[in-house]
Amino acid sequence: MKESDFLDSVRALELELFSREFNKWLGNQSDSDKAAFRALRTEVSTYRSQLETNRLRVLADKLIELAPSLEKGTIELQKEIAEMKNFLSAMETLGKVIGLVSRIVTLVA
Amino acid sequence: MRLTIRMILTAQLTGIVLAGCAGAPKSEYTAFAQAGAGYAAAVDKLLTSAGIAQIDSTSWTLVTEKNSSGMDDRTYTAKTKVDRERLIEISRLRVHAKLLAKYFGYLESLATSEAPDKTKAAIEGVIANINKLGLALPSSKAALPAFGQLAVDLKIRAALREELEKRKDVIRKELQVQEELLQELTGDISHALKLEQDAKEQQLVIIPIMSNLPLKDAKGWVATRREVLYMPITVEEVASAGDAARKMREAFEGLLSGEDSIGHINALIIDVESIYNVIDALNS
Repeated sequence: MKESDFLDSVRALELELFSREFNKWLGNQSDSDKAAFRALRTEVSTYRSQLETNRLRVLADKLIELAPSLEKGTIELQKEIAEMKNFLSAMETLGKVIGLVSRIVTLVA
Repeated sequence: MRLTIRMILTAQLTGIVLAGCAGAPKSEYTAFAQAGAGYAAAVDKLLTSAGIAQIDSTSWTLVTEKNSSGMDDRTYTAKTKVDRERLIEISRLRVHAKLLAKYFGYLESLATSEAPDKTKAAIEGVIANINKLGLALPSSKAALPAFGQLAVDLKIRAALREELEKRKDVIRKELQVQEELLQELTGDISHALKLEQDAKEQQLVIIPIMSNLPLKDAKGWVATRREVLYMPITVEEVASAGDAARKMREAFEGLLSGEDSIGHINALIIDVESIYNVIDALNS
């Protein structure tokens, strides 16, 4: 049985233990039986939640392993963006310099 | 001089054109980066909603417990402990989702960094001033600003392609784990909603209507019943939102192989919207 199938079975059991039919039946039991079933329900709910949390923890660990590469990617992208801005400002500066030279040439001539 | 300017421009632009020609058009990289940023932001919000759904469903089971068999400290403490443990993992996952959003955000910034008007104006400025100097440019100079714009476009495309090629294994792995994560969250949220729905139906709908006492607020009871019975629709929407990561992976593979990936990206955008619909429904 796969872990995900097992988790589904525990979920189904938990839903059954909190169903209206089960609660109606439980309402007619003695206080000691009520306490015993409450403990059982809590065990099932806690176990189901821990299983879900463990599965999320495994995925979080896998993703966190990838984080340094993504961090590196963001740094390199920032450099590329800066380079692109520099390229455009170099074009603007070139235009201004040529403009200035053309004025000087006109004045001299 | 005329020959030198032509040679410089031609060599630079040819290099950029050759580098940028391979692979998907820039618009696809832009759309992918935007969809990726949207996806990561949606996952971050979905994680928060998953935490809330877990806590609310636990609270509703505690209410059911109290009304059916009573409550004790051991039960409350055990359930609160597992909720807190869940929130710790959700917090770790959210930190990573924010990093993913940041990565796609920069990818999007690079894809849209050329500011077309500014590029055109800069190139036109250079040409106008060269003309003032009396240095004759080829008669086709009118096309230069547009060609310059294309060159910048291709330069950006080449940079985007290079970045995605460099990090393709990491992104592939990331999207594969994201797919698993969305499946887990779908299962967790669906179960939390089902538990909550059953508990609400029992406590807010069935007990008051079955009681021998008259309803205190009949209109309120009707509204509550409608709200509780509508909850399964949200469960189905959660399942459909779970497809987003798979479509994201398909769009990425399409981009790398150079095939048309706009269809995948559009499908992804719809699924990202589904995630937001689920978040809205969970928060309402």
